Amino acid sequence: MTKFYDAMVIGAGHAGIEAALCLAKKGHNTLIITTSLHSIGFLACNPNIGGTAKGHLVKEIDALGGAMGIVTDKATIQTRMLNLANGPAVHSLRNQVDKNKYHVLMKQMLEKQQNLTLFEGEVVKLYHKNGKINGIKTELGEKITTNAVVLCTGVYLNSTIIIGDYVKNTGPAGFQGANQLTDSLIEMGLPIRRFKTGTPPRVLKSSLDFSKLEVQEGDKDIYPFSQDTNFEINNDSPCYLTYTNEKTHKLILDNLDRSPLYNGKILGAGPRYCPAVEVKVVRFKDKERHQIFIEPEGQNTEEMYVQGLSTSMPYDIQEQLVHSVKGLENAKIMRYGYAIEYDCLDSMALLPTLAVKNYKGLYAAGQINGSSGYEEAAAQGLVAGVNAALYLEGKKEITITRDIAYIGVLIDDLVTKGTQEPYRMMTSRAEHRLHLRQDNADIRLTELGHKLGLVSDERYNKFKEKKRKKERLMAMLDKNYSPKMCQEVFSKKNQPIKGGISAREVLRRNGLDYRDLIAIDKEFDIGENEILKQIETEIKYQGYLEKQQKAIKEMKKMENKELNADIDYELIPSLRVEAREKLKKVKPLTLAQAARVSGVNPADIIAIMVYLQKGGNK
Amino acid sequence: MDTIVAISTSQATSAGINIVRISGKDSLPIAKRIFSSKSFNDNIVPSTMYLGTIKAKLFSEKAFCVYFKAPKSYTGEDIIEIHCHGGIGIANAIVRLIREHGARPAQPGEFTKRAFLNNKLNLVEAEGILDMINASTEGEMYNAYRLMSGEVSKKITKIEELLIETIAMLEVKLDYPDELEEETSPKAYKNLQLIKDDLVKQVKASSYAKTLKDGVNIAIVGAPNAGKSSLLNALIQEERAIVTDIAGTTRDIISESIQVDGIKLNFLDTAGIRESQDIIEEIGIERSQKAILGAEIVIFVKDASVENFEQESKIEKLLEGKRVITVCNKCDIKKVQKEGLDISVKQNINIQAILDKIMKMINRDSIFSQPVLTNERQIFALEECLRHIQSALDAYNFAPTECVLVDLHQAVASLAKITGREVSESIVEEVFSAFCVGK
Repeated sequence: MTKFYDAMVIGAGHAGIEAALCLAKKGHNTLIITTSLHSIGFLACNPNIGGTAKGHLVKEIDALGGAMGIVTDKATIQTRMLNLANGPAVHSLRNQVDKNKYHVLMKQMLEKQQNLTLFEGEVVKLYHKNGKINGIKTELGEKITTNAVVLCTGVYLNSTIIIGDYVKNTGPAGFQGANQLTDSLIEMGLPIRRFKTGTPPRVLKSSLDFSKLEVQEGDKDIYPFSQDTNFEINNDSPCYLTYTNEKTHKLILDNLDRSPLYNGKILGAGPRYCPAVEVKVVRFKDKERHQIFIEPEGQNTEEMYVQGLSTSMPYDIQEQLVHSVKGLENAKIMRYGYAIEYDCLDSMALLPTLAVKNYKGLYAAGQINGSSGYEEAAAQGLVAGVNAALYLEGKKEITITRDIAYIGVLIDDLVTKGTQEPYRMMTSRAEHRLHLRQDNADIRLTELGHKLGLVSDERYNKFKEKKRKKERLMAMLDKNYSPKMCQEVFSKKNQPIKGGISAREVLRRNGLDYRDLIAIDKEFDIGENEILKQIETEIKYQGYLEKQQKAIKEMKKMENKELNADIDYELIPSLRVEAREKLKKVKPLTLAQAARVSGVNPADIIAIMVYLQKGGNK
Repeated sequence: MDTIVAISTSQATSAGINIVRISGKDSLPIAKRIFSSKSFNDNIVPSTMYLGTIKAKLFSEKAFCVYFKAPKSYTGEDIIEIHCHGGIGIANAIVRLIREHGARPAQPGEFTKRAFLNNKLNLVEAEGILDMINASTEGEMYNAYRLMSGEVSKKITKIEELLIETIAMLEVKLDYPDELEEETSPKAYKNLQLIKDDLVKQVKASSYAKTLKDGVNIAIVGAPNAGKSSLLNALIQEERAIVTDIAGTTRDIISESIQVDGIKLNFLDTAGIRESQDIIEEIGIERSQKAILGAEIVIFVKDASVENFEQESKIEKLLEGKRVITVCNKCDIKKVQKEGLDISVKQNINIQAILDKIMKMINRDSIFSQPVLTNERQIFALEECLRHIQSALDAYNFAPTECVLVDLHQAVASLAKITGREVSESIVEEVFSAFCVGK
């Protein structure tokens, strides 16, 4: 008898994990299938999670009940909050993690999850009937039937590793690739493209000269990613900083003809934000040095990651390259850096729900969608998993909009604008940046997470309690203090006093913060300072938040005007040809999304409005 | 949503009555500030027409005003309609006044768009409106931009590129805090000042050029019987090239246009009405005010044959801030010494000298050598950009970078309304081409 699962997730990386957990939590009997169970939650590149914009994503994933935040907290070995010199909107948590521990914890979490089955195997074919996905076949020939599939294949489709002249058809770090599924996708008419990324060499810790490296410790103040974290986060593993030098640069320039990036061997589109060291040296000739961060791969290993030295140069050049760097003169290389090319989908083939257009029951998340990064993958996995579940339940699928989460910005950029290189989340891409903060991720998303059945009642109740506390504090903001009452605090901070001052005004002032308010009025000390801190943030940002909010309002109304993906744009006579072609490709789900499609102008939007008014959205 | 304003009657023909429409939550407060009528202030009855006066610093004008209360209005928002006489000139002046009170000019089709978003658009309207939108978007800004002289677009593009470069300098610090070794902030500040200076220049030149295109309005004011209408006739006689009556002039202001060196001069005169001796002084003042409204240059005609200092000084007070050419008419029968260029309309003394002065004031050469924008919405976009840049500069030294960037992103969005550039991707592009970041 053939096996049957409600849903199947192909791939058990960061996207696959979140997708599978969502489906299983929502009660669907789910199979997660991977070419190797050893690769579950594998951190193939840098040993850290979070960072600018990415930290925001992890917070959002956590607020929606995802796994990445809590597991990161458990596997952390060093933690830093980036951007403290700027305001709270751009504060970004970044943790170094123990890669093996992360993998073990994720695997355990999946194994313990009800309704979820882990399975090793390579999927070679998808089956569909009348546009509906109904099964898969593995390399062994085993057929499994299902009603929904989430593709989370990462970099494993037809992947090729390149080190100098050496080219091998294989996945990263010795894991095998998946070489047949692409053909099945092409047969289904899906647009396939080829992207490229890379990773630096790893070196043996005991072979480094630490006297020549700058130590980088973690922060004193420790913050968790997850709201559920109630344990102490490990923060005892330092990283190290060193630099490339003239010798490094000369070596690279002298051997450019041996770099696959410059001799034509690599044709895939590589990411600008993650340039190989040879690209940095060629493009920024004037820079005397480039930073190299040495980061531990874990606590029970001597392997160190050489951040900044990503390269696909031949092995002999890599040896010289590593040894040219101060402190690495005698470093023993444990693994060479490599470039990897892989097949992925043109992200414009997806709807904002991450459903694949023209098929029912087929979803995709992570690097297969042209993104890059663990966090970006996990975020998409969650949305794809939720929507696959909603599809199985016959319910309306969700879209996360740009104004409530980075997840929304990420997905909207991918499906509306498309991308010519692996897409990395950046805070500058979020037009509502001041609102999309780490500190209010729960406020933005917990309600939704709970409604979707991903956030537990317990956490939801805790969240509601927090909201109540915040409201109580907000109600006290008009309290007034006489000059005498704030004299002590104000003179210490060199702040002028003129007459009485309200609590709100204390929080608004430059140079004062929530701690000063507590010093003036103990009533504001409720033991949970983050709440008061958040109020302070909102008051300090108020003017600018309002500026951004103004823009949100109109967009919000347009987001509420839904479009049917099956609209025949040929039937809208007043559309210009360029707009019509673009809209046919993107198939926007809301008027706002249509307005963001490049080449669609305001007159086209009005033409669509008129068409909708005539009842053309059926 | 913010409050928008536009003339909603056709501007192609010279309608006698124009309707200025304001939509958005500030419509009523703005109306209350600029429109005065006994019954309009407290319990305004929606959908009822009120007669009153539009009051501005430089003019006042009788008009009708109707308040449509949300959601019972075309757009579903609060709407104010002002019905005014006096042609497009007055309507434009009212739009300007409303803009000064915080509304912004509506994009083509924007009232309709709001009606749709608020579920107020009905089918019959929708059908008709589409044609109108299509017609008005023919001259849409992007197209206008493409058609613009290479020099202007080069200038705007240069400002835009410098702005994107500057934004990238600040963004890279936020997205790569631990990698960027160079200090970009002081350079960014300098760039913003450069951008501001460039914008100020462009806005100034463009606004001026815009008025030039429509003709330079020159008001002729003075006490009754000073010889205003004969001066007007003389000025026109001088060139013997009457172009046209300007469309929609009020009955009590006459306008005649001539063309001098390719520039249209519109003379506004309070003549045309029979001035009797017993005309009350107040009316003379009021009429002068109207003529001065919207005039770039004022010819103040004094009468050298009578001692009417008091009357003339009253008019003089209205001229503050205006570029004025003062002339003393009837120099051939001079009885009183007054300041100004001696002329005699009757004897044709110094009439050409007035025209020379006007042309000198207009400074023809400098205008035509400067490439400028002339489309009203393009100019507004530039002004908007300038405001955002100014606000960024004001906050630069104490606000956190991500806040300064709010203003800068809005500034570049304003420019993008002219150039149609995909800004977000350009900034990312610039981050990676200018800075060596990413590991």
